[in-house]
Amino acid sequence: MSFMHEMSLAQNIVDIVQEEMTRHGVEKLQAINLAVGRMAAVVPQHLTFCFEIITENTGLAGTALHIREVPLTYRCLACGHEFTADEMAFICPECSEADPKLEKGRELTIENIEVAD
Amino acid sequence: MKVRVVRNILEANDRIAEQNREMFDQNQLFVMNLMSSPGAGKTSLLERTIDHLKDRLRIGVIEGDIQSSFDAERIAQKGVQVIQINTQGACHLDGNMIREAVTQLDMTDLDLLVVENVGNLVCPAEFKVGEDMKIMILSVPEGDDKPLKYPLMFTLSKALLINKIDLLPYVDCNIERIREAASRLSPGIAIFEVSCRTGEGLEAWYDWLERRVKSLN
Ligand SMILES: [Zn+2]
Repeated sequence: MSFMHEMSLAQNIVDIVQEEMTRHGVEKLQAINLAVGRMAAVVPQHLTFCFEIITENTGLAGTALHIREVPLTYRCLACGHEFTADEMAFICPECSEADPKLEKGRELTIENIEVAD
Repeated sequence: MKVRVVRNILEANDRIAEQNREMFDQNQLFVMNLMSSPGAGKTSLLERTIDHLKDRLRIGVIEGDIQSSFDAERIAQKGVQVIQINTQGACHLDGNMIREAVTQLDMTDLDLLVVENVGNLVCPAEFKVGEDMKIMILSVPEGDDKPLKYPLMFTLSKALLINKIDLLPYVDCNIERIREAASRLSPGIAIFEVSCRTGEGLEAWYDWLERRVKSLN
């Protein structure tokens, strides 16, 4: 089921990247660098797999898809403490108030593309 | 050489969803994106809700199904406008599918449009369709660990219906645990404990929904 979901994300990546390549007059890429939040509904391996399938026999074939996983980053609204967590956090480890706000972890971003030499 | 891009992978869908939203607003149409696992009771909830509210609200439904049109037929029997979207295997509805589907609806003759998403707790969360709010159904046999396993969907939801509470004596599910996790993920989330089989608890849901729809119109 979730394969189809990463499939549409992979297609969106290809569309955006091709647009950027045209805009910058780039013909061949070495890599695409993504930031994917831990909270995003994405399995990185599925995304890589779908990207490979979609780009097969296209100009993007062989382009590496690098995924930087962004940890959940919270800022406590009570004391201002910033912290990262592997799982959802509901309590500030510094002041024990139940006021942490998720600041990072939902990213689904193409950060940059690396041009092949 | 690196070329800076910094673009959201979902920007195309977000843009279409935003256009849908403007179109719905122009038509004074309240849109609810209904999400759950398969079998949690989306269609049963919809049948009950339509029966109860159809004299007070003009309701339309978009049914997202991977294959069959069985659910759409059930809803059509209620005498409301129904459009079936067959997602051809895709695990979620997106903005574009909704944009095409609504061309078959008379939006000026509707107050509430319910988008019944594909049964799945993961994928629909990332894809906006232009809704005013996301609503979730979780049935008690699915267990009380679901909010923490699928936090994104709960985080985005304005209301949670905990369905099949008539089965509580027979399953291992702590409702308090669901309430606590859901409230932490989505502060202020409205939670309704219901049984779409017996009708228990649904009055509060009907009232809440009607008030939300009318405050917009
Ligand atoms: Zn703190």
